[in-house]
Parts: sequence; C-alpha cells; structure tokens
Amino acid sequence: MLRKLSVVLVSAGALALGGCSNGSSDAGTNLCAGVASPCTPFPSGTSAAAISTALSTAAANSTFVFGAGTFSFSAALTLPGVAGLTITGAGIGSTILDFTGPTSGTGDGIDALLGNNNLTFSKLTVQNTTGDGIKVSGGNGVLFQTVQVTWTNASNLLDGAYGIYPVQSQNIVVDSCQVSGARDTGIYVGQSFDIIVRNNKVSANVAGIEIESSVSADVYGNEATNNSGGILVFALPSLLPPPASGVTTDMTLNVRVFNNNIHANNSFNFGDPSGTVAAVPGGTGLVVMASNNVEVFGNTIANNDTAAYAVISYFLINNSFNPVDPGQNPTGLDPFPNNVYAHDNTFSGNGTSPISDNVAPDGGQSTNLLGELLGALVGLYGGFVPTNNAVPDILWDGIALTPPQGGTYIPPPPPTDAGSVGSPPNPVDFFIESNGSATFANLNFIYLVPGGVPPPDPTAIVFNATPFIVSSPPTGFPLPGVDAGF
Amino acid sequence: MPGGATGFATLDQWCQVSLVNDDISPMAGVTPYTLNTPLFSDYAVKRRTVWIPDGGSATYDATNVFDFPDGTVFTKSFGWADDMRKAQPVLTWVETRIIWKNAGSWQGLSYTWDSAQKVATANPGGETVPLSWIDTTGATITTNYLVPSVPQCGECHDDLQDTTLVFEPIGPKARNLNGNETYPDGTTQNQLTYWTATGLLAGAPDASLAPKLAVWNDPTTGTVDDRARAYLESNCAHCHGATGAARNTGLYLSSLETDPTSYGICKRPVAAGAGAGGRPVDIFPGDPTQSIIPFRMDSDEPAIAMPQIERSVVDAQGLQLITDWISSLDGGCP
Repeated sequence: MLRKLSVVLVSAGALALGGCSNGSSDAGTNLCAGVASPCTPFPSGTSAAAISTALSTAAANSTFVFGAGTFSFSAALTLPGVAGLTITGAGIGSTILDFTGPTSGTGDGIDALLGNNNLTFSKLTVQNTTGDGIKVSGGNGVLFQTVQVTWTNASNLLDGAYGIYPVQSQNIVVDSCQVSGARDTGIYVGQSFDIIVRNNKVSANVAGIEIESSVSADVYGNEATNNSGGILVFALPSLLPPPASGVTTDMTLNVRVFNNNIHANNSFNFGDPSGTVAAVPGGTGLVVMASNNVEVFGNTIANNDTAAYAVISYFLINNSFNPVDPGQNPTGLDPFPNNVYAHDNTFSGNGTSPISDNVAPDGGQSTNLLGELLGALVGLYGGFVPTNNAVPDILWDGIALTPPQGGTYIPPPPPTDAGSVGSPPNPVDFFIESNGSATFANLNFIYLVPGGVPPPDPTAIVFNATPFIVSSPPTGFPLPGVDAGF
Repeated sequence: MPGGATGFATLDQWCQVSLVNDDISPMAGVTPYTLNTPLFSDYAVKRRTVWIPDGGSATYDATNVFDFPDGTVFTKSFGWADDMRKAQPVLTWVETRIIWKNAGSWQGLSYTWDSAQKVATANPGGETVPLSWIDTTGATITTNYLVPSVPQCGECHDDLQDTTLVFEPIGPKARNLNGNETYPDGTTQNQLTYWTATGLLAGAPDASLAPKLAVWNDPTTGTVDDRARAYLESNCAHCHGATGAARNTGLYLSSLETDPTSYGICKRPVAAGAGAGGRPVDIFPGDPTQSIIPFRMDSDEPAIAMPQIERSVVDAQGLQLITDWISSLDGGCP
C-alpha cells in the first residue's frame, strides 16, 4: 500500500515569489541589504521547498542570499536558464548547503545546466553530494568566488565526482575556492574556453585541479596538496569545447600553469577504477597529457613522492597505442603533447618513494600501473643512481609519433647524456629552461608498449639528457594571458 | 491562450483532466493518448492527454515531434498502484505535469496532488516524495521519487537548436503514436487515424504508411532488436542525441541512429567515471557483463544510474530486455 505522502505543498502564491518583502525587520531583509533588486533572502530555517521554488522561478538578474546556517536538501537545486543569477551566502563554513542522505535526481548539489549567462556563486559551502558539487553546463560568464565544496565523511569518499565543475562553458573564473574530498577532481574545467583558475586551495581529492579538453586557461596562485595528483592538464578523446572556441577537433590548447604551490600530493588514489584519474599515481605533482601549447613556470613543486612533473601522451593511460600502425588511433584526439615549455620552476624533494597502489576508502586496492612502473624502475637499477635514488623531477614518457598524425612511427631518439639529439630531434617540442637543479629523464616508455621494438631495455632510460633544454623561449612563448571577461 | 506565460496555480484551472473514480479522466474535448514505448518512471501508471484550441491542428512530421499550434496543452499524470499484482489496484496520484505552448514557446510545470486526492497545486520548485508499493513479485519497494522542478523539466526537454536551448515535447512523434488507443466513447482506433479524423492532426499518411515504434514489452510488435531500440530511444535518446543534454558523450540512442559507434557498439566511454563500472564499452556485442549500459540501468545510485532523473528504482523488465538484446548480438569487440 502506498505510504501517505509526506508532501509539503507550496502555496499557490509561490508563483509570485521573487522579490524582497518591504519594511520587514527580520533577518531575511537584512540579508538583502545593499543588494540590487530583485533579491530573495534565505534566512536560517528557510525550507528546502521554499528555496527550490524560489530558485526554480528566478527572474533574470536575481540575487539569492543565504544566511548563516546549515540548509539540508534531498535533491539537486536546479537553476533556470536565465541570465545574471547570483547565489551567495555568509561565507565558507558559515552557510552550508548539505546534501547528506538519500537523494533523488542527478545527485549533484547545484545544477545550472540550461545555458546560464553571467552566473555567480560565492560565500558558501556545498557538502556531501552523491554526485558533483556545483555543475554548470553551457554557461557564459561563470564566477565561483570563495566557494567551498567538501565531502566530510569517510563514507562520502565512495560518492561524488567533481567539486566545482564548469563544462562546455566559456568565460570562467574560479577564484579563492576550496575543494576537498572529491573522488574525482576538486576543480574540473572541461570542454570550455577562456578560463581562469586562481588562488584556490585543493586538498585530499584524487586530482586537485584539472583542465580538460579546453582552450585558453590560466591556472595560477593555487595551492594543491595532499591530493593523489595536484594539477592535471589533459586532453581526452571525443570531447571538445563549444564551437565558439574556434576549435573543431579534440584538443587542449594554450594553457599556462604558473606560480602554484604543488606540494606533498601523496594521498593514495581512491578514484573509481573506471575513471581517467584512476591512472594517475598517488604522489604526483603536475601532469600535462596530450595537450598543445602549455607553459609551466614559477611553480614550486615539492615533496611529491612519485613524480613531480610529467609530460605524457594519451597512450600512457590507454594502451590501445599500436606502434606498428600508430595512425590507426581511433579517438579523434592527437594523443601527443606538443609545445610544452617549463621554465623557472623550483623542484625539491620529489620522487623519493613512488606509490604503486590505488586504495579505495572501502579497502579495495588495485595496482596503479604508472606508479608500479616508476617503483619498479627504481628497483631495476638498484635505484635512480644519478638522482640519488629518486625519480627525476621532469619526466617525458618518450612516446611520440613522427611525423605527427598518419606517418610511420619512428621511436624517439634514444637520449644520451652526451647531447645527441638522434633523429628526429625532439619530436614533441618539449622544452625545459632554468629550472634550477631539477633533474630530467626521458623514460622511453615506448619500449614497454606491447609489440614495441626494441624490447624493454633499461639503458634506454637516460637521466639529465640535454636534447630538450633551451636557453631562450621557443617560438610561440610566452603564451598570452587569458581575459575571461571579469 | 490558456496558461499564459506562467500557468495556473491549480490544475483544475486548466480544464484538462479531473479525478473520476480515483482515475484521471479527460474533460470534454480533451483527447487521451498513449505511446508505444514510454519512458520508465519508477513503475508509475501514466495518463496522457492533448488539447488543441478549436480550429487548430498539429502538422504531421514523419521523424520529429509534430508541429503543434499555440495554445496546445499536454498533460501527463503519474500514479502508483498499491499492489502491482492486483488486476484493479488502488491508484494514488502524485503529480500531473502540464506542457503548454504560449507565444511560440513550450513551457512545463508540475502539479502535485494532495494526500486527499482532491487538489493538485503548482509546484515549480519540485520535491522529493517518499513512495512505497508492492511490486509484481510481492516485494515492497520504497523509494524517493523526484517531482521535477521547472528547470529540471528542461534537463530532458531542452533541445539545442543552433546555439540556443529550446524546450520541446518529446513523446508525440509519429512512430511512437502509431498504435491503438481506446477512447472515452468505447471505440479502439489507431491514434494517427483518430487524430486526423478529429482534426487534431493534418498531413498524416495512412497509418499503415507511417513509421511505427515497437512496443518494448510486446513481442508481437517487433524483434528483440526492434524492442530494445524502442526502449533505448524512449528512455535515453532525449538526452543521448546530437542536440540533447548528453550530446558531449557522443552516444546517440535514437532508434533511427545508423552509425554503430554512435549507437554505443564497442564505443569507449568518454567521461563516465564511476558510471562505467570498470566495463570497457557501452555495448559489447554478445556480452552484457562487459557493457556499460546494463550496468547503469541496474544501479539506483545517483552518480551511476541512468537515466539521471525520472528513475530511482531499477526497471527489471527493461534491464532484462537490454541484457537479452546485447547477448543476442554477434561480433564482440576488438
């Protein structure tokens, strides 16, 4: 028999919601003091139904102000596709939107999926969603400022995906936010363009920050610590930014990662084994994968136990690469990084103890192939002798296709300490300049690709090779900064 | 035009349906209709109606949703049986959704019924409703059913046209309407024929010449392949199409899709995360256990379950159909 429905029906007057009441002296009115009309206050104690109704029927250019307190929800708050919405509160940790418990629908916290222009989130915490924290799809002019997304309970670590998640959007600023506990990525900007991610703190996520299949991004002033991987710049197959970006094939293009503090990202990777980030070993600082025109400078990258900074091809996380016929790549993605320039970074204390296992919060454990490989290489040589038994700071996977796209595969040059560039030289345009005492290795993983020739040869891995070191900025650098319209 | 820009505060003001003997009853001039293969919504019993202002008619389209005139009103009511084993279960009505066309634009709004089953009131903010019933096996099912907010309506109904999202009806296409309906006068007729005869529809060919979607759970209407494709279209294609919300996945599940990869055959997921369940491809011909689609159909966890909204319990019969269908496919994946 059907349970009597515990329904809190909104009144017929709900359709007229949207403006502040006049003359009242309650806390609600104060919340809207000084805020342009229309403004709707949500003082502590406002019901989830009233909040959802007000947001669902929002007029353009409305502001919604939460008071201090914890507000609990059982379904995502979904915003209408109108322009100029602002969702704000009393501050991180003061206004808490809590999604703990049984939920229905997408499982996200706040969804803005219907094409919002000029959308702002600020001064609030979203916690314990089963899906993403705040997801914005198809937005233009999206600001996250002083927003926290967090998963507070161990059991929540089996939930969740992305914390702050703008996707297929443009003109995005993520500023002074905090994300922790995401089972995928804390701040994930996907398939978007004109992006600024600055002055955020990301910790205890699988990945701290990821720029994925996007164009024109500045990532600076962020602190990434205690994640499995600090900052990722990835391109993935079959994903591309909106047509207005001018990009018509799968790629990530024009990304600057600078002045970030990427330290001690040594958490076990607890991501779902199916997710892309599950391939990133715990202990990783910064990874650039299959991306084009990436400038990495002024960063402090320290005490990441597995690898400080790696430039890799897509094939390192997807073993479909066929070295005999590399042109068959079916994904539509150029799987190789191109024009990646790292200069004036500070490295210390990295690579001392590669982490080879992924460990889920439910105790599930699986091997992380990259972590295991790096760990095995340490053992294979009796240690990375040239770098004091540590994995070198700057790594290249050594997988390349020359000429790009469609040619016959030629293994990259066996690098040597003698400065020999082999033939062809530097097939991925990978440049290094002025990184202090940072150590470098071409890992030549190509020798480990199934079917690759010649067979695995430890001597193929060479440290402190010189071929890619430049003494002045290569053509096209420095990259221009991003104007995200704020 | 009825409804105007914002709709009415209560359902009765629309003059479309009322509750008669605990069932939804169309008012005079309002036409009930059914779909060959509908969306699964937590085992809801659904009642659908359409009304077009006098003198107006929809224009037939062989592929897409018909072009309906301003003033058109659709209703869809969601009720639950107390015991699905009963031939005449007691139905409790939870919501009636309205989609109406005003000044060239469609809008949606749900009305939730009170516990006395007397009044249905506009609920633009949506809500989560705890439900409980006995299923066909005698098991008691409890779930939190989502009455969608107005923006959540758009998650399924918004369609990308050029660079703008446009709200559209989903069901009233020729192939999904091309079947029989029993009308209040007691006659049973093909819906395309009836709509044409009553002036609701113009330009339709004889029903025998119109496309026809299989009834997903009626083997007399099509092969397993036909019925699986019908099921995937009605449950997935509103998002999983080139202009739907899941267009970025590249997985397009319209019954008209002809590209095997776009249809998920041996197609790797792009960003499924936990939703992939460790399985390599969307559809692995011959092996449902390596296919992501049945994994997601078999979950009730929000981050995994598909469809993302409208379903909080597993559709066991639908899952069986898709599992059987994938098992029947030949070829495997490289």
